[in-house]
Amino acid sequence: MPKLTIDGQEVEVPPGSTVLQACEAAGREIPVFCYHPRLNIAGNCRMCLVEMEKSPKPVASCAMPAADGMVIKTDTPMVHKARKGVLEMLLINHPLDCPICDQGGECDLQDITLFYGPDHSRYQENKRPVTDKYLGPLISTHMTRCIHCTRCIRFINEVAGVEELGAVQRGEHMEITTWVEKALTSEMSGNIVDLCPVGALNSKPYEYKARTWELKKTESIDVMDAVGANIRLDSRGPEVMRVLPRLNEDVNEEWISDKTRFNYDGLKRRRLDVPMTKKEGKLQPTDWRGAFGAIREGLDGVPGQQVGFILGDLVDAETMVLVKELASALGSPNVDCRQDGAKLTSGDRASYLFNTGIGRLEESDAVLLVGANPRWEAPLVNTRLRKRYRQGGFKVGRVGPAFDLTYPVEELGAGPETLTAMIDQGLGSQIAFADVLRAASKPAMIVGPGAYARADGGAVLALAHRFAAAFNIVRPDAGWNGFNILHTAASRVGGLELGLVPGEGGLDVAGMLAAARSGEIKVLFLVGADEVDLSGLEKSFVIYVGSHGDAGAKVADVILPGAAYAEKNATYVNMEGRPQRSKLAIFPPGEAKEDWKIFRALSEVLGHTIPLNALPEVRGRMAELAPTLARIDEVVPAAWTGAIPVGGDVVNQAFAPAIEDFYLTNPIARASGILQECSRLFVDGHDVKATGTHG
Amino acid sequence: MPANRTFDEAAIKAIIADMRSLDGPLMPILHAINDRLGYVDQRALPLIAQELNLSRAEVHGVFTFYHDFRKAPAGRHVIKVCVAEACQSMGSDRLVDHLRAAFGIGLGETTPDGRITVEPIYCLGNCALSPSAMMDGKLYGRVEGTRADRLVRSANLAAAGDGR
Amino acid sequence: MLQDRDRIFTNLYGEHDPGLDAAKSRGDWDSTKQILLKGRDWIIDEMKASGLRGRGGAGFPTGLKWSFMPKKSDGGPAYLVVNADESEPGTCKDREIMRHDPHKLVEGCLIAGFAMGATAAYIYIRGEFISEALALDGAIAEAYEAGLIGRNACGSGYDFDVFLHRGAGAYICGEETALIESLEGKKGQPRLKPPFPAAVGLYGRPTTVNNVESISVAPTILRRGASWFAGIGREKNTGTKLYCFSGHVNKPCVVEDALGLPLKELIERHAGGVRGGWDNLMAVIPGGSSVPLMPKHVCDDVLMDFDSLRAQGSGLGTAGVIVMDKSTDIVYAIARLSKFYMHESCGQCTPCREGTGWMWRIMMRMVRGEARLEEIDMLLDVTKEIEGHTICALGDAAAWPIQGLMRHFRPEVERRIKEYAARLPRAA
Repeated sequence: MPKLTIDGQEVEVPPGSTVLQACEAAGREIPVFCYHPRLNIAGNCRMCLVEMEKSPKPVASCAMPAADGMVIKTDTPMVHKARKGVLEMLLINHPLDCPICDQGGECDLQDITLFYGPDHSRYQENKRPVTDKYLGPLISTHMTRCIHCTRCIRFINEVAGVEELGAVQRGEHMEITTWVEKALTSEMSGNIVDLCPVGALNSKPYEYKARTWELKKTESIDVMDAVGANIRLDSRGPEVMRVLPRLNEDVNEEWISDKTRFNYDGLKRRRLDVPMTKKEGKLQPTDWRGAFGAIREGLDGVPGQQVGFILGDLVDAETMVLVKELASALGSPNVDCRQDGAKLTSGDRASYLFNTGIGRLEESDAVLLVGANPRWEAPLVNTRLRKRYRQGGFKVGRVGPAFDLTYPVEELGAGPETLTAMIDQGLGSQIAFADVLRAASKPAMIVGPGAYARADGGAVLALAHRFAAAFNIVRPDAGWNGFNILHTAASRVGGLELGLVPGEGGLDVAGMLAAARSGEIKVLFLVGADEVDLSGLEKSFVIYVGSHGDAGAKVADVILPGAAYAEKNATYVNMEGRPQRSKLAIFPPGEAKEDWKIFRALSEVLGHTIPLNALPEVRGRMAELAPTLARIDEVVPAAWTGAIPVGGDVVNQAFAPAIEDFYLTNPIARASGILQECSRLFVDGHDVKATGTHG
Repeated sequence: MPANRTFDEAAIKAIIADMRSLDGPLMPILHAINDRLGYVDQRALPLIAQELNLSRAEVHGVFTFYHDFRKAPAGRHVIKVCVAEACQSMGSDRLVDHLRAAFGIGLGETTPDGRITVEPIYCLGNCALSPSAMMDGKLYGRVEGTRADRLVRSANLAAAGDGR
Repeated sequence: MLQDRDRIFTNLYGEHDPGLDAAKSRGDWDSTKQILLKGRDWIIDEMKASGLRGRGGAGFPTGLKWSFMPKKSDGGPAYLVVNADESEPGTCKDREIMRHDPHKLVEGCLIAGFAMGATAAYIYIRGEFISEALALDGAIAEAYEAGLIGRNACGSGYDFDVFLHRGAGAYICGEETALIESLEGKKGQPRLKPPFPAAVGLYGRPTTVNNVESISVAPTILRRGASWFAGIGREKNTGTKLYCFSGHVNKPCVVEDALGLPLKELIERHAGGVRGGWDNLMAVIPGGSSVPLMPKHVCDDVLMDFDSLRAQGSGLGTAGVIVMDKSTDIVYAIARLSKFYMHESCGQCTPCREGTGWMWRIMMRMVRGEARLEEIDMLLDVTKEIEGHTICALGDAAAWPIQGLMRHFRPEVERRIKEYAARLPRAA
């Protein structure tokens, strides 16, 4: 461990540290622009210059490896002069348009100038003109503000892995650009807005909408997938103005996907904001009393076996507690949270969790993807895999449809037969990858919805367990569980933990829908369930509880308007089994209410009052049903039983992609104009005529 | 891209095929294209990127870094139009359109007879009198309507005086 | 003055054929095998003893530089890179070597490459050097054909390749790490150091970058002995050097002479003296555009070598001597250099990217006198904000000429400013 002296204070830092990190360890703040701990070192801004003994020139601390015996000074005239000089240089061509710049108030250049900068400009020449660039519908540019730190280039190349940004020209004419006015295609592109230390790259949808200091900041949890990215909702009055990532090393580091960042306009479009009932074949607004009355009539005389509950992808755990209680009060065994048809079962936690943990994927040295497309199903899991790939000594194999994941993938086969073959021996690349898995010290497999959410999903899961056993994927003695289920819905693991699966003799989602079509299910509750085939339900009485006028609301006889994720204090359990809590940032629109309260009120009208009157009581009951859900932000590891689930026969049919359109996977995303545009552009491939004057 | 310039994709591909086995082949390829065709057609860059498995941004970056590589086979009075935010908000775009109507050129362009160049500039420090422009070092404020006409007349007068 | 028999570049002026046979008759490729057989250590020790300092500008001891390469190969390649990207204004010596005496360079590549354990040499030649590239290409082909390089070079049992690579119009590629980037087909943007090229260089392999002249003199030094070379010139500034005389001299030329001779003597003997006589001299830039100028009174008795010039606040650089007589607009001359550095800045580091343009713009105003007196100190302050604050030395090179100008010609700048102010109509 190198020992350095920083401003007279001795510090010891881990080998491989930089002088900058040593300075920080000594409690010294070093101003930086180009340096970012998650990106390669560029060393070009020259802001972090410090004085090093025996060096006649100041050194860039971000790029200088810390060595034993170094004597560093950060508070000398040489350092002050260097910082002031660099800042002056950065400012000479930077426009003084802070009053209308979106970055104003959270700008590194502003902040650092305040502390280290000159108090006036000595620059009298003309400022440099730079043409703005077209980067697509998400990012607007003001390239006169660019300070050429190249963080955006490095992020797009290194983290996002799409190599679409670069610098052209040289000297003072150097500019950051994509290839001829082309939109960035990465689903992670929005992060460069956060990375840009100045106002050169802005969120296009947020542009000129608000000043940062007038926004209310609410720490929350993303629900666009099952990663549970930690986010911050910035709101003004009744509107969420933008979504930003929060740091959580174990989950999303400091990144979020574009779907997470840009879905917020979907929060105010297509909203269900008043209860409705169907009269003379048409949905009509009513009040809560009227809607509840209609449900009471619909349920009148219907036995519990003929009532069903399907839970969608965005349902919070509190609501699921109430649904479970209500179903049990009504005597209905027909409850299912697996809208996608996943054949995962409740009970054995290790059989449905992402056991390795997202962060610990970085420890793995070989990963097999089974019917999974992490880039679309969980972009931040894919980002981790790419990060691991960039560290070297890492192999990824895939069984399932090909897709560019931004890192090399060995294609092994199309469907379950490949797994069977590899357990036996396999052919060609299968043999080679089987050897890789056997030789790996921490092998992992990621089983995606393409594998488990199909008719023979149970059998595929059983096969996956047999595969895990054959390749020693789970090593409890070594503290390693490489068996991972990749989820796509924010609600799914919470539902499995709480046991929202069919009870004794109950029907699953497909069974309920079939029974509803035939009239055997008389009353069907769709709790935010929009991504199932809802055709032919005329014979049953359909109640839709949710936030958006999407597929479910169209077929409903009664609509109960609920709250979206930004509008409630709720618990979501991510794919690792990590319960996290969102906080209310804005209030639900109109008459809409938090969903658990809707079911609480409904239970009273139905004469089955559930005695949970306040959030703490709901959460108390939740802890009884699933004790791990009380351990907020913690992952309670699941014990590996080694039991192989019973699954029936595998159909040797290729795994199909589970997500057809990354940008439009849920009602909020589908309501978002920004994400619709992304879908049109990046998924459908409609190239917009980019003129360069866009934005 | 002027229509009279044909693009010989096969020739470009042949050059790439010829040199791709070199170490660090990008510069030799650009040289060869530049030497043979007199310039490097923009349409060649994606081909090179694809063939060498480089990102197009990188190829474009290298192409623009070295000044020997020409974009096109190989202008007296300069009107600088402030296009920074303050002037933009007061209609610098209209001024640019006005100049385009008068001279037939946009920002960063020169009239075919080489008389007048119109350039963008970011802030002339005259924000209170937006939109502003500068011609041959002389500052003009509130360049709208008749004042924009006056700027055009001044430019034409200056250009007419060149020959004498 | 250098005796003819001590001259290394005997075909500097192209009076003889540059081809292999003629080169051999001039002594090139003579007993190269025997030199190689004496071993790496002997060659490096001999080079160290000769006192040869790098001829590219920085003057770092060549033998010492070679010794930084890994002593034992890890089995992978290592490279010698020859910097033939001669672009320093006022410098035109390497091109004469490559055009008229290319075998000196090719043989030097083999010997230097062998001494440092390199498996191949890459010669990075400036894009504009068309005929030089042709001559060098011819010499390389001849050497291959004669078995002098390639497999079992000179029958020594050593395999060694020499490749020629053309630059494309970027001065910064003369910086060693930028040159390596450019060789790899990237933009010529200097790399952060550490790691140094001797550890991580071309394609991540150990690499040493040397100037054409440094490599070309090596075979002769090894044939004639370190003591012969060390006996020429002055202590720590030994050997012969190619000087380039340009500007206001009667006979601009490139010439080989000993280091440590008086500048005045060199100009008068080789370059036909200053136009209009020595007293008509205004200033000299002695080592290419990057070094500060010297006014006449310094030129009167300064010696041309690394240490003497450094003591005068300038430097030997490339020994590209730019002579300016009293007709020179000295402010404009330096402003032009500022423009050059602005044009050639790679754009990576903030101070250089932003500062070179700023300096040029102020300089252009000062040419006209359109400035305030206090801006002179401000400009000097700006040069100090750039100097030493960048990854490579281009920032320093851009700053020094202006510092030199103000050190010696500040009154001239002040005069222009005052005259300009006097011409302005008084404010009402």
